[in-house]
Amino acid sequence: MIDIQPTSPRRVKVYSLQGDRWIDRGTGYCSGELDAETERPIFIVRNEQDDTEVLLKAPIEGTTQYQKQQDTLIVWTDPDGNDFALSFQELEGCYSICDFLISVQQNIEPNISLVAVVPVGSDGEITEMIAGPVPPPPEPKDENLPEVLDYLNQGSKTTFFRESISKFIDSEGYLSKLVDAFNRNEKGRNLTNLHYLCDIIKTLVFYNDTNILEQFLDDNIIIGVVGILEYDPDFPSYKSNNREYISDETKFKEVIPLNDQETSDIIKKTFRLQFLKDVVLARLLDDATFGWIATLIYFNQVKIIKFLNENEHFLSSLFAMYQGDDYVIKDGVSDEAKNEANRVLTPKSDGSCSSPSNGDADADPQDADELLQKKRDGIRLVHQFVIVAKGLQATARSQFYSALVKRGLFKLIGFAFKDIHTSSRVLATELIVSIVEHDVLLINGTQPATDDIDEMPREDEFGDENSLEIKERFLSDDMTLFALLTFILLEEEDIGLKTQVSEALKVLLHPSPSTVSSANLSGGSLGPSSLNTTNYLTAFYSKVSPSLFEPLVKVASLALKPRSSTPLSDSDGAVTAVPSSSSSEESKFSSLKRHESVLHQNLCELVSLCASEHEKHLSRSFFLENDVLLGVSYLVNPVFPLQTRLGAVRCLKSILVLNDEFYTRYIINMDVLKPVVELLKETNNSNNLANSCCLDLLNTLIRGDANGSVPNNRFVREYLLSQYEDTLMLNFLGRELVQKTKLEKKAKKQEEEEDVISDEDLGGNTMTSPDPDYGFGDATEEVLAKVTPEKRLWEESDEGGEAESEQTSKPTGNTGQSKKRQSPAKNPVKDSKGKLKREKLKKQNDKKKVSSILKSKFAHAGAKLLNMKKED
Amino acid sequence: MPSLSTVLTATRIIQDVKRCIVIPENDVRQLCFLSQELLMQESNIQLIDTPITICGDIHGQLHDLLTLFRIAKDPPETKYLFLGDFVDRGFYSLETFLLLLCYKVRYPDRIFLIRGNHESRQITSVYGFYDECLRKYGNANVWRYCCDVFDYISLGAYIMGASGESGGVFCIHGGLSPAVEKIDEIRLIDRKQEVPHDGSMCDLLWSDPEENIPAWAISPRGAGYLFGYDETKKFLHRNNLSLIARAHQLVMEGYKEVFDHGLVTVWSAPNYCYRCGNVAAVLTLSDDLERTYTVFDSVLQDCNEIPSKKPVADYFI
Repeated sequence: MIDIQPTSPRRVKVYSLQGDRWIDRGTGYCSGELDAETERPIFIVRNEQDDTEVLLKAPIEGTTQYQKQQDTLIVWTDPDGNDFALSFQELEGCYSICDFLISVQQNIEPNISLVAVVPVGSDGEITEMIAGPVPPPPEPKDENLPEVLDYLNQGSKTTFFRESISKFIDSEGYLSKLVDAFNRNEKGRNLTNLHYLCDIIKTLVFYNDTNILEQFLDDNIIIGVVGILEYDPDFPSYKSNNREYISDETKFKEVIPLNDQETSDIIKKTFRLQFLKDVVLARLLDDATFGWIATLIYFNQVKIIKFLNENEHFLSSLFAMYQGDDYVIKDGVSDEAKNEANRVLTPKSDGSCSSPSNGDADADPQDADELLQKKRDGIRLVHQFVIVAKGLQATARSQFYSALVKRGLFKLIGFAFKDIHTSSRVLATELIVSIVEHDVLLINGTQPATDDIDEMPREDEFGDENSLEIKERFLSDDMTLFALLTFILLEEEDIGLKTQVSEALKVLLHPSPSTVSSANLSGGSLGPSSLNTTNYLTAFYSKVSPSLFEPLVKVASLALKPRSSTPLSDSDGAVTAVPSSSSSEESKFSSLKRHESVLHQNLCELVSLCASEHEKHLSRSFFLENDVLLGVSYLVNPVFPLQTRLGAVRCLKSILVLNDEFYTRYIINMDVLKPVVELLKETNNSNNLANSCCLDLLNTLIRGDANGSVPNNRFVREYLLSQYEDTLMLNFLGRELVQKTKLEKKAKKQEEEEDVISDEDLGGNTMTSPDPDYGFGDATEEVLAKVTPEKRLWEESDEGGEAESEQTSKPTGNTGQSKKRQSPAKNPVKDSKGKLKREKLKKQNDKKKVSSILKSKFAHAGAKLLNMKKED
Repeated sequence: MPSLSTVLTATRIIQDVKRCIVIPENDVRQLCFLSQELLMQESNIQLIDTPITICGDIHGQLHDLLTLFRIAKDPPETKYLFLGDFVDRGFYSLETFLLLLCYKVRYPDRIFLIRGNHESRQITSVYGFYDECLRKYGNANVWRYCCDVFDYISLGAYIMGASGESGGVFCIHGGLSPAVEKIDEIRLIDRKQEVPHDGSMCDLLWSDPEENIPAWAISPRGAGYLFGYDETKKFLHRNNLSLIARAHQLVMEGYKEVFDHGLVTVWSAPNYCYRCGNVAAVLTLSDDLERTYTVFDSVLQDCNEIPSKKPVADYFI
């Protein structure tokens, strides 16, 4: 009885019941203690004024039930039938006496009980047992299963009961008895009893007791438990095959021996838990139980991932299987990204994936097959745990992902992309996307960025023996992953994979702060700002983007060709666009076309992303120099499938809302919106997605985007008005655009007349001084700094043009428009490179004039727009 | 008119889906592409004739959808409009969606689908559809194909009675948007996008009616708005409507009319999440736009397994 400690005295009023009246017996200090003489537990209350006077001395014994009421009151009837009540001054006093009673019940007087009386609703109340005698559940026999069920159901109502039963089940091997009963009754085909057993197990599940669940998962019990759950009385005519599934050991694929029994057990138990949660109990679980099991799974997964992180051998020996499959180029930087990827990815002539170079090429074919299968399973294994890690906290995820990268994930990826099994490539891409989405540095870190090496978390985090390999990866430079993904995007025929790769590229091209936030693993100060995206993106634009956007450049070259030649002739290998057909039938199995359409749509999305997220001097220079926008525009033509056409319209819209005057100028000069207007006309009479897509673009031109008006759109509207007024007038929104633009022009004209006077006052300087709001000055410098010589020529003459425009802008205002009509797209030119170059120069000369005119217009109109804004 | 091969493919998939057989990835891809081309020909707000049967959320409860078709008759016998939320929560999101798509390509004029807030990449990654696809195929490409179809599904429907006398019925998954006064304005939305976090397209799919407020209020869902009696009345009047039919909220009785019968919530997933204990309903509008509600409960029939998730095929250590 050492456990029983006397409680400290608490101030209390003592009452006893006489007839139907509670009589105040005085105020004193109450404690629970063992009687000095009898060593039996008692309540004793001593008078507060005179502690030698005992107000109450009550033995705690027999089957007395103590009721706790209203948090401060304890009421009971003693064996002689006298009613007593102790009213405590403080909650704590009452609680400490309750604790005393609980410990008495558990240690000395098992038959006393303590119940809480809890009010329910306005006048009802229930009693809930806190401590008391709990008879053991009946031994499960064939004839008493309803009783067992009833008993467990009763018990489920209070925590105290549940805990007591849980302890009992734990200590008495109760579950094995239930399983024995199950085996007997299944043999005897006693369906009624099987249904009772199922309800018994279900009831136990809802105890939400970790002990019981742990026992379910035991090797000797689990089969019985899921077997019992096959006989669900709610679905008497159905029987699931839980046992077959869970006992099939082949479901556990061991790729590399784990050599750790404890982890192995956790993995198996987690698997069983998941099976219970997702399959066997899926319909039963309420949110609480579901959440509870999910939490248990979560903690197991944390342990498993931790093991994989910390175990020296597992991941290393896993990745060692792929020795020689690594795609990292060791012999310096290759210029042509695509060739790089090509070389790496070209499958061996036998069509299977390349065999590892570490000597087992001589092994017999069966072993080779086995190894191949093991390698594929290895991909699935890593994929499984990468998905698991997705559910963990960011730090744990970072640790695991960087452990993967450090120990040789790229060898596996190199293998996967060479594998002829699409599923391997799909999983590998998902691996990349998951890791890159989480922390782009984990992949980016294998890029060169030599000045960043010191900041790389892995440098100080990991041991020396691996640093050599990592350094190699830094030295081996750069855009390998980009090149690889680009290659897959361009060449892969599996459309799902293509889309996946496009997702991966988007993440890589837009490393947002959130994706690097977890890079502070080693406590370093590595933040988003130290992400050296400039080097990274410069490398992208010089090495990858020419290959990536090549399909659009090719399409653009079509747009620049004379109309007379058939645009789809395949002889020059430009594009393989097949005329779209309105019937879904023809296009249905045309996978080639589909594949190309998906590619074009993805490229359009990438153009939008690059144009809006990357520094202008990188993305814009690239897109304008290579006529990528013209290519996008060409995709709006009816020879392409509607999905492609609309994707291209969306891309152009995203460029328009950038409010960038270089793009605006290009769009106007190159008549980029022509096919959009044609698509609008084509869909004028149909209310469908294509029509809405065009209307959305017009609406943006009229009203701006969600973020407000887009000033440059005004010039686009003027261009549309001058070129396509008739077509626009056929559409209700087109008419609005025309009217708005005409009104603006009218207003502008009036202002111009007024301005003539002010211009003269200012010596005409206003016309040429660029409006800073449009970024003429610095944007031009940026471009000049980066452009190729050919480009520079254009820009320089453009600069010169500005001077020219000083004198000519007003009188030639209309000439500019007419010159633009002779855009090179319509000029006949021979299909030779030299001619094309000359053509380009000519085009640029045209541009020079037009743009200088426009530029002065811009500055002028911009200033006015600003004034208007101020008035608003 | 669908071609013979389309009919055959769709019919075969319908049979397999009903038996919960996993459809090969290639077939799913093909079906998704067919559906895309069909759906993109539809307007943001589709004009549909009566009589029509309007169904609310299904949420992957394939067997209950089969019950629905048994009670209200399979397409093409009955013309259907589904108000979105085909996927998530239930264990058969994929089969449910594929079944609806098959009927769509098979009988494009007899079944119409509009988009719910769960037809979105972000939502399905959390509420079950993504996991289901991953579980069934080992990778997420089938989920990707379906999400691409989601982007093409139209946003709402306008049902005009044959007599044309009383005002029409506006059908939408969620409800009204402060940014949309006239139904015509919805035409200007380029709907092919992930459901945005705000703006009219988001509101139409996320908003809820609320009886205790007059106009607009912040929605506890974190997207869309709560809209009250006054705004609903104004919208009905402005657009000459007699009713707004929407889904989006669990109704224990299967349907609930509010705002002087100006708005109804229809819910078609009985015993939601396999344990809510609610009944489901569909609303049939006659040529005179007379409303008939058919209430049904969850029963297990015509299915060869107890509804549950598929276990993973392999587990690696």
